[in-house]
Amino acid sequence: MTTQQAREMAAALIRAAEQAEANGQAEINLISSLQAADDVARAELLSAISEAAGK
Amino acid sequence: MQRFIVCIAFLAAMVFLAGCASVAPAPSTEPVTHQLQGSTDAEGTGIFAVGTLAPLGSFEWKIAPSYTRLATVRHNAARALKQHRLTFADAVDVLDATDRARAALDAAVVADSKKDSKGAEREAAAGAAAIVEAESILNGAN
Repeated sequence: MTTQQAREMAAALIRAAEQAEANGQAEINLISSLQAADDVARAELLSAISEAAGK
Repeated sequence: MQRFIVCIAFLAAMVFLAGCASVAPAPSTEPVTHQLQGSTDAEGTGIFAVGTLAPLGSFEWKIAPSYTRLATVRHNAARALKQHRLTFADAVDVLDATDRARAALDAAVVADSKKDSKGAEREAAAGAAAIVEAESILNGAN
């Protein structure tokens, strides 16, 4: 993987770890965490599209 | 005893580095599928990454960069649309391509869980191609 991809993945893993710790969990599920991160990004894009459509 | 610990640490480092070396470097514009080729023998290493349930070198670790790229493309597209660097139509196209990518990546994970390594790689390739398509739309707009 490229260094940029490595940074993006590391950032996603850190966010997932922080969220898991906040929920009292000692482990994360890699794919579930990344899918959740993508769900957030999709909602962000969809919101921006809806906002643009309303203008 | 100290030597023993040093040896164990050294062996662990070697195994970790070997796992890293099995992932072929690919420029960001290349489909991530290139990283997935020849990955089917990586299961069952018995080594678990600290803090995750996925064994190092497993299919999950190989497909993970695709998921992060996918989320990054969507985030960048949202930002570009808000900053008027991306048209509405292009944003919709990015959403469509990334939705196709997500469906393919999820299908790849399901296929891998069913021990269908060829199906998993085929779906991962489709997902990676859709991500490249979305990146092309986004990069064309910038």
